[in-house]
Amino acid sequence: MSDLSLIPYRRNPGEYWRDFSKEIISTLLAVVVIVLGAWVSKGSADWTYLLLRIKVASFIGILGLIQATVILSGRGGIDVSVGTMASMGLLFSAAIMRGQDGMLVPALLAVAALGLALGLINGYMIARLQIHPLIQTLAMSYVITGIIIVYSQGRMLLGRPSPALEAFVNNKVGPVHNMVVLWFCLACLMEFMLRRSRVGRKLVGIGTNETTARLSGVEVSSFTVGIYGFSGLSAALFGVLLLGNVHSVYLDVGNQYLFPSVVVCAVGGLSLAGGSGSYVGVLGGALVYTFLQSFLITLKMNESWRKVVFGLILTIVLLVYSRSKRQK
Amino acid sequence: MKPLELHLRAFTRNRLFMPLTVTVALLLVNVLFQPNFLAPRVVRLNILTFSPPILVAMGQAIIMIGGNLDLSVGSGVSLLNCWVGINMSLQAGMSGHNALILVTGLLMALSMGLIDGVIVGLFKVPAFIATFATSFIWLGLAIMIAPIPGGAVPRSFVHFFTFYVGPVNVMLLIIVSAALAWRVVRWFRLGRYVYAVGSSWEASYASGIQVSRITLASFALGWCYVYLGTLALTAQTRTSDSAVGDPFALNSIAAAVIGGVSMNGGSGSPVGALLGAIVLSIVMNIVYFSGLPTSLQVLVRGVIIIAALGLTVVAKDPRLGSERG
Repeated sequence: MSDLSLIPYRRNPGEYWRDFSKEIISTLLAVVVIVLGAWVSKGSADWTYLLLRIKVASFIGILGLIQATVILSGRGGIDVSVGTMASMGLLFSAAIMRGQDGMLVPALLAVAALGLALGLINGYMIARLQIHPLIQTLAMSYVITGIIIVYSQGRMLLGRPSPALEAFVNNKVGPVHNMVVLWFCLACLMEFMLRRSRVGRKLVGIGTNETTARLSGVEVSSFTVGIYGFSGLSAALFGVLLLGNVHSVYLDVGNQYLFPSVVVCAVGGLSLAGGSGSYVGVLGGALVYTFLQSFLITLKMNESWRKVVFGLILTIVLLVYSRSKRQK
Repeated sequence: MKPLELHLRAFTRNRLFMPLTVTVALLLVNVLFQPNFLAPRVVRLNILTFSPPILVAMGQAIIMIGGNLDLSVGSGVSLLNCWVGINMSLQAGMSGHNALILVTGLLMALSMGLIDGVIVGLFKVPAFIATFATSFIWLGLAIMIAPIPGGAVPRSFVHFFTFYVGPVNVMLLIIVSAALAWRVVRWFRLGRYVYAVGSSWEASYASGIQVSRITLASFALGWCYVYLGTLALTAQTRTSDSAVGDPFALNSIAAAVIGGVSMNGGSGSPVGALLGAIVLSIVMNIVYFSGLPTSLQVLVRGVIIIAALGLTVVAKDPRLGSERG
């Protein structure tokens, strides 16, 4: 499979447009939103502000990359437990770490193991018992909320991020935040894996057509279990990164990233039926989302209006992409 | 074979057999935990509490039979609840105004169904993501109408839903007639086409059914049930709250699946969803009355929903227990 894609092949401009139209649309959208923002509020084009917004985008974007992996696997794949999974990761890692660098690695390991276990349960129910991913992960998010409530009931929420974690999340390489570097590296690495590695090709294969993938020798159900395990594990670790950013423990901090994680995939041109799309597009989607949000805040739009606008934008994006797919 | 045996076999093979058995078993367990469960006052109260999830689940079932699902029913319930609760007038002699509010509410429900139906049926956007997107629009509008919980509904509105016709509660009548309404729809082409489109979109299209129209109709019909459920909910809470619909999205789908409606569409019935919703409501009841600490209840509910879904799916198709693919 991968040998074929290595054959050099000259494309004409039309083919480039066909293959990358969604990425181009999302990049153009980002530019339009940034320019609009700069035009409306003179401060928006300020470099430090711009870099700070990109740091905000990096959190949404990293969770978007995780969500994208699940969506790519097809058959309605989506993981709506990533938000609560992140909250759980944040809560437990803070409790284990308690501000000591020495406990950073044990905290990471513990949280990763817990996330992996819950993710594997998701995967098992979805792949073997054929429960719709959305229903299963939604129910799982209730279970995790339950775990969080049981844990936090009647006790002080102790714990702080360790200095090393805080330094990692908040420091900069030159003018760019570490998180942004991490985000871009992850996106490129995952994109490369998707295009060139065996795992990536299997992921695309399953997302495109499960039966064909099975007949070509991919162990579809074990692979699907693995994908949800990966998503649980990395969402829990994402919670640890969040802890470094928010400094103290809130119960519901992860959940506000759930909706953006899906939106950035859609805006980034990922096919929500699975099997097509790119991680780089998702990166663009996160930029669009963040700048649009700050733009709406500059317009002094309140939260209910922002909800409506984002819902409308997601709907319109879905409609536009469904049109472009049909013409293809 | 004796006729009785044949009847028995037909009964156990029926799609409603599993949900019915589970419902009866859970009812017995509930009586165990809550000895006054069968007292008239408690029965009356339970009919009122159970009916909103039942009606919404029936609506969801119709949409699911058509091969889609609607995640936005939760926010839709919130929006309709806010519209009705904020705008109805408590003053005497305003029945004309109130009737107008109720009719506009129905129109809003229909248009929400039609919008979802157009996006899913005409543009072929996957239902779960399209309705996920629109759910934020409905929720934003709901918060706009009622930024903080408040408002009230007139006494006569509440009385209507708690009224007794002889020994029978009006709510019960509404649910029964809602179930019968679907039986009637099934006699017509529309009902059959909904099943056809749900089981195979391509085959229905090839046989000349106007697929997108049927999808639209199934969404519109489903949302009528959702509206009825919202009214029942409003009569019960007597106020409006933009967060009130939150649990309905998952619960209605879970109820439909437990009641034998397939996630792939084309099979099951709203009556199954009705039983599924009763099962879920009783489970919540049992968890509440079993004396578990409040902090554990959310966890236990989540686990039970997962277990119920898993069991239902395994029970329906024994092959699924083994390796597949």
